[in-house]
Amino acid sequence: MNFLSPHFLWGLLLALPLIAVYFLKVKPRKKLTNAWFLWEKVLEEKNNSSLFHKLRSFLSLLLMLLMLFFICFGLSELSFSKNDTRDVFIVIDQSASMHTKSDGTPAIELAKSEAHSVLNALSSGQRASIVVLNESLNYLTHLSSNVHGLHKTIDAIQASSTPDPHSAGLALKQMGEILEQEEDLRLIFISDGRNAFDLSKLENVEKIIIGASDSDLNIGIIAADIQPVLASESATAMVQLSNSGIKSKEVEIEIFHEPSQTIAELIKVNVKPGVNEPLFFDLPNAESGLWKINLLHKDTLPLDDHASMILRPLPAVSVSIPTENNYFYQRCIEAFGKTSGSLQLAHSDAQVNMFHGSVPENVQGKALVFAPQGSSSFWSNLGSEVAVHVPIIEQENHGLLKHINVNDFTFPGAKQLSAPQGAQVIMRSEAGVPLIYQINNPTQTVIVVNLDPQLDDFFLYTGFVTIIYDTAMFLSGNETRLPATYPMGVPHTAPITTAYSLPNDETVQVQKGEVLTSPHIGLHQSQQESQKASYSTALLSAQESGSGNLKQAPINLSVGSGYPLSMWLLVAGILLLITESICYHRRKAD
Amino acid sequence: MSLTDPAFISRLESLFLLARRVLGGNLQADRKSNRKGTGITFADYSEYNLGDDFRAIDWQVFAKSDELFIKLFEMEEDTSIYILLDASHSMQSKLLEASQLAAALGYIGLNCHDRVLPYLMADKLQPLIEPARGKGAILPYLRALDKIETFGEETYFLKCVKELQARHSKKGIVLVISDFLYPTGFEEGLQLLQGMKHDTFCLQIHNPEDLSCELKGDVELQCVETKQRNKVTITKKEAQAYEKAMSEWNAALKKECLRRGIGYLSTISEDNFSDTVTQIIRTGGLAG
Repeated sequence: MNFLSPHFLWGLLLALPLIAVYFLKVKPRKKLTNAWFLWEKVLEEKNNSSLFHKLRSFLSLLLMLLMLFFICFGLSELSFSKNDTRDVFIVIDQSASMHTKSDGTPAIELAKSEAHSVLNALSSGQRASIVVLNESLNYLTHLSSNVHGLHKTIDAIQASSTPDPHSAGLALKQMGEILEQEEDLRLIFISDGRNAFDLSKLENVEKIIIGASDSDLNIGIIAADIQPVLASESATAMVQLSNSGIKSKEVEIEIFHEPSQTIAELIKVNVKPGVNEPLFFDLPNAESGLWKINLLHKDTLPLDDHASMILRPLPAVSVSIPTENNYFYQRCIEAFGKTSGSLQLAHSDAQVNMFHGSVPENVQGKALVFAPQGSSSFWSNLGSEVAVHVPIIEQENHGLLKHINVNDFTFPGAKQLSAPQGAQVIMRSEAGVPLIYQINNPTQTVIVVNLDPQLDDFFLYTGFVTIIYDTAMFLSGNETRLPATYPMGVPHTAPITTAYSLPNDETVQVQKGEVLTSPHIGLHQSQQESQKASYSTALLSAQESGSGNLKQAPINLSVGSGYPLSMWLLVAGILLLITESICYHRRKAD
Repeated sequence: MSLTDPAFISRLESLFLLARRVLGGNLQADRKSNRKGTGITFADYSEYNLGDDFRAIDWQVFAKSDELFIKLFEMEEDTSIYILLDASHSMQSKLLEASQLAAALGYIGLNCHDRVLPYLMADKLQPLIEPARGKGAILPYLRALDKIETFGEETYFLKCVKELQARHSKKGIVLVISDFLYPTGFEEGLQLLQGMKHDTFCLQIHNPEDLSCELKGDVELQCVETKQRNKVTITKKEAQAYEKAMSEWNAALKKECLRRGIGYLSTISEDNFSDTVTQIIRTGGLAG
């Protein structure tokens, strides 16, 4: 037991004058009566608790002394804990899962209540700082003893729509390690336990876990996508669900096309506990635009019951083939044009120019050259044919190789040659002969494919079609398309300079190349080239939906909460004063 | 104001004059005796016997009847007025008013040549002055009243009445001026007075403090007579109970007086004593 403000104990000396005054004060007023015998009759009828009357003054004095002791002990801040003097950093989890309702109350409100309780337990002179954890640690206040201001700061905290990343846990751990070295500081983390990091590894952090009850079931969308099917007008939608409960539950999935207000799919699925296998849905005649996947049920976290996606059509790439032996090339382009419409034959002003053998030196824009022949600035040292047994990929993630299976390529007619200086070799032979390489000039981008499709009936191989398509897409810039939807917290780069209309009806201007991390869930509509630059976000987080760290048991260390003992002593002292006044107050004669 | 103050005496004189005017010639010899004697009012005839006053012989009757008859006249007697003034400690706050009443009534009696026998009453009967008669006794009477002080430990009304009985057997008017707050009761005393054939009148004087209790809270009650003490807490409930008990006590006194044909009047010390005496006079005496 110790006293944080022991000087108030001197107040106990007031007991002496209190007793002295009390004995003087309690002497009753004298009243002379001429009718003593009448008073005797009256008082005889009164409840004869003479012992009570004798003790009443004593009891009143006792109450006053107790009140004095309680107030003095309260002001001197009696404490039984030696940790009470430390300043405290209160970190509150602000991630999307804190929207989850437990018995009707959002987890964020429960966390704020715990934080208020910790603040109330602080003694005078102790300081606290309010920190929120979301994508990173964000300090809302400095260390402050202004309890009222700290309470207001806590009240203003809202749960976000983004999950907390692993890096946030690292930051928290580092913070805990730093504070551990300071003897007069402590760190308290208040969360629902649905984090990307393992709480048990935060050894220097005191944790308050807002646990969910067994009845707090949540089924959420943790992955979603929609992509057009090549060479068709249909699309495929993918959705993956998770169940935070211990029992399977049947839910209805609705796939909805927003522009046409059409329900494309409405299906009941049985969702097992934990992460389920992805579900795929074929959507014939799927129009481009905003699509929504909705789970038609109510649970504790509505944020993950909806996912917005943008189905982007494959734009037709115009291809010209200004070369003599262009029959098979034309047939290939025409085939893509008739089916998916992704390629179309053009005679002029094409996005991509396709050549066989030679290519004009002054070719502008994008060009694809098969079977190099003759002299050109795009190759040198052209020699005889070489055998390619094991083509080697130099750039794994090159857009040209998106759909190419290297094992299908034989490279018939590949010749000995040297790529110009500065060219990017994408594939080469085991002997180092460039097989596919890219040349970038200020006004030209040329892909050279060192094979002759006329040999070995290469025209008839799927590899030929594939390389035509991939190259056309790559050269036209269509191979990098924005995903149908972004998980919250995942940054991406703005493809163009545009203004976005956000889901909360605000507008934000972005520059091309600017890194975007939106705090909002839903469609971010670009005001320019909408389908190219617009993007959508959804929660898509297994941990936030409750199936990530379900096994993580609450690890609660003893954290002081509630009002300090000194406050209760003061309250008790005041109550005693009120009791004494009510029971024993002296009424004055009129 | 001193009872011998000229202003006070003039008030007493006014009261006497009022009394004489209202009650007329009934003041003196008001109480007609059945006895025949040497008065001035013819009552009856009687045969002359040897030794009778020859001056009372009615010679006209003798002339007619040749028989000797004497006139008989009503005997006019002076009345004894016994004034019992409660001088116990409970009357301390009312002593002045009681003295004034005693002074006024005694003044009228003395002016009417009645015998006034004033006594102080407490735990014993104590004569105030020797029995007095006539105007010459007024000033000594008033001086004695002026000097009275309360005495005794308690008021024993019955004992005092018994003492009175022992001292005086002659019937008269008994004026009891008191608050009648006797722990031993008043019934026996009144009964004895009635038994003594006195014309008894009870003048009850109270303080406003006697009738109600304004003091609330923790109080130490002390009896003015016995000095007994008790620490009590007086709430509204106790105050109301006391007022009710006092009211019942006074009602019982009034009822007892009515039952016994004893005159009764209640007054409060704040009332003007002249008004009280005037009321007595105008109502033709003390009446219930």
